[in-house]
Amino acid sequence: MQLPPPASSFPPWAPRDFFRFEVLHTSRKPGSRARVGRIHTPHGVIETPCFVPVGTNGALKAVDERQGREAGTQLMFCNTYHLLVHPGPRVVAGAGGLHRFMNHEGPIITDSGGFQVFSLGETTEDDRGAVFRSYHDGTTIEPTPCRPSSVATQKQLASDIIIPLDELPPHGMSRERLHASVRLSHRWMARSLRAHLAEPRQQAMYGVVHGGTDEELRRESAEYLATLPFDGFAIGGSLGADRAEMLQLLRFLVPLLPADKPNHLLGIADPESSAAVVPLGIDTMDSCNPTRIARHGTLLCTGGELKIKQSRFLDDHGPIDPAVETISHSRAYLHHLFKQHEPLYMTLASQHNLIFMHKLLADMRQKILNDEL
Amino acid sequence: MTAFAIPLASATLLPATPPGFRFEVLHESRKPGSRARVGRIHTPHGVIDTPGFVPVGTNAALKGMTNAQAASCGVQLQFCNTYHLMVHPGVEVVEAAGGLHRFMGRPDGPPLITDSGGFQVFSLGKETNDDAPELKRRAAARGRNAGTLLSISERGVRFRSYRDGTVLRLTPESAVLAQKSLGADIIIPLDELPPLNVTRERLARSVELSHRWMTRSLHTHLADPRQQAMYGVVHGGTDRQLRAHSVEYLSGLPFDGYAVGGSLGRDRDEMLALLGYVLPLLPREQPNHVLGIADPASVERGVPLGADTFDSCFPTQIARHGTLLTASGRIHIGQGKYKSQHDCPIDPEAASGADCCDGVSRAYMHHLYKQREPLYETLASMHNVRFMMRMMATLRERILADDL
Repeated sequence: MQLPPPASSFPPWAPRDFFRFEVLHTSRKPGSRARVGRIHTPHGVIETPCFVPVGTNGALKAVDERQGREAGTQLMFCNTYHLLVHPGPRVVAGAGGLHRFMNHEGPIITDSGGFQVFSLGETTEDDRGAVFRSYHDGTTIEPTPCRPSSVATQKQLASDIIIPLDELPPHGMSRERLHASVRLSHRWMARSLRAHLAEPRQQAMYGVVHGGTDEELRRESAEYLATLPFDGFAIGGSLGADRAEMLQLLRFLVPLLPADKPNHLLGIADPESSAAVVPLGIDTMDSCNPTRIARHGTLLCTGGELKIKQSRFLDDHGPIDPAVETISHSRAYLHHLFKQHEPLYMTLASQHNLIFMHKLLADMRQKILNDEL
Repeated sequence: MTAFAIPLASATLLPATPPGFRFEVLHESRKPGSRARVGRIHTPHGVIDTPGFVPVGTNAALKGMTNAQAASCGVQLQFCNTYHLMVHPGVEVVEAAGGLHRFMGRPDGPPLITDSGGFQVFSLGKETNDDAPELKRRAAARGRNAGTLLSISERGVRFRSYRDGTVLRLTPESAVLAQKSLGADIIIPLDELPPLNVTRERLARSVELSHRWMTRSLHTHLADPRQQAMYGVVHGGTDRQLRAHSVEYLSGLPFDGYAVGGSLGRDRDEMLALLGYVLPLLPREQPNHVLGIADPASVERGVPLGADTFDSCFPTQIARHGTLLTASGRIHIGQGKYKSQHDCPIDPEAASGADCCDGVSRAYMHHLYKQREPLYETLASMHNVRFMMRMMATLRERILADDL
């Protein structure tokens, strides 16, 4: 099995003047690894820990810029895969980058394009990278680590934090196959890092730790990637069959990551999970979940989720969550809009869930500062 | 053979102007031949500058626009459809919420206007492009009987709910009581909307029925005004004699304003000719409203005829289907040529800072539209509504300058 390049073949990591992570306070609560921090980027500061909503196609679904900002959004996630398909990186670059294209002021993080490639489409792959077909018009697209490359695409998108191409192995692989996948991801990520460092363009790159639910592979991955000059570390791949497994794995894994660099949990951020991973030391976490469930009728609430289409809400004129102030509209109004398929439902429901998540994390930051979490 | 004789416009109906409702004419154009005027309608929930455009928020919501977004576009008066609210959530629910303003989350305004429910009842026999998606979906799901008109009598109308097929009734009294529960600032009495191609005899009978219904509605309203204003609806189709008769009858009753309803002709020229005939007959000191017509060309030519407000789904509807209004005409944002127009705002001729979609390029709108992003609908509606509001502001300025 081919080994990935050693750290010695890279320049050592040096502090950047455009990207910086500072730990403001580490919780003194016994057993907690929670910390409050600040990530400085060219497009603004991110207070951590925080929730990162996903604006797949260069837009949050049904929530405009001002609403996203006022809801408390600090960092937004955009999917390179979808932007590759439409409008294409050349168009975004022509606009002057994603921020200008979207009229968005705050920091943006993009992924490599790999996740959707492996989870959505038919692929063939080898060491050059993966090949897939555009769902828009059927042409072939190759987001390889090199040209035309995932990194080059993210350079054109000009996001603040970028992610190297990694492989997402299917479930139920043999350990041998998983190990090979981890090594392949390491080789791809090393090449991505090299391409990135040749032309940083004020972007930060996070390495993605893999290894599935195998603790030794996770250790190998964390230890290897930690030697490379990444600016932060994302946790990717399968984390287990349920939340308990995930937490056990994170308890093992997070301490292996460099404490002075920010970490990011990919694709997991519902209220219960967020509350559970912050004490384990997670800084940022992204997920479509809060906004997606909103659109499908589930509103987050301190007492538990509300299925707003239930008839008991027809004349419930109270606020959506009595314990957390979000939007000024009532449960009855949201119920009505949902039942009548009004587009405004999507906006208000998404706003509510976004504000709820952002307030949840803000509350946690305060608790960490008070050593309560 | 009717139980309800046509009441005379008599002193038994108290001419009551509700407190908080007032129309002031600020300036009448001195341009020869023009009947344009700039005015202000005062309501308990705020002021409406006239001539003004009124977007339609059918189900107690503008499509994809929050209250804050509507405010940023300059919306001053919004139309809600009583029929849809009767079907869902039901007017009792809205009443329990404290009325439409509270239910919609904007208790302090701006003002709202509701209709009687009659329009959808009468026009739902056949689908038009104006039908909301939920009507089409449910009509298809429930079969041909969904939403259909079952009977018209002196008493009122029976029809099937498009939601679940139950039989609903609408009478001149119940249409007003529903609007009392909803609590909009301006309400409309029940009228009949006759089919398009009817004999003059049928049309004349329809006008008389509408007059009798509207008088009953007015009685119900005046028994409990609740700070609402009521607009009588002038009918008569394209028959000038009937129109004149309708105006004469209604203007003898203590309505607070007058809407022009029913068919106005086959095309814009016919419509404007008819408006040019009808509007001068209306009481000058009261506000008038053109129902269901508000495309830019109609508005520009209707204002000099003396129209004060116009409502229509048109600007928001075409927005959703990819058509954006600009000073140089309509653009179809799905066209490939917009894909890379990065440095071009949607309407380059709009003063920046005045556009509530500031910073949004044509290229971005094109992308959102092609990717069917929900945000497209919001931004497109906002843009077109803002365009209409700016257009009205410009028309008002021109009237003040005696240029229109």
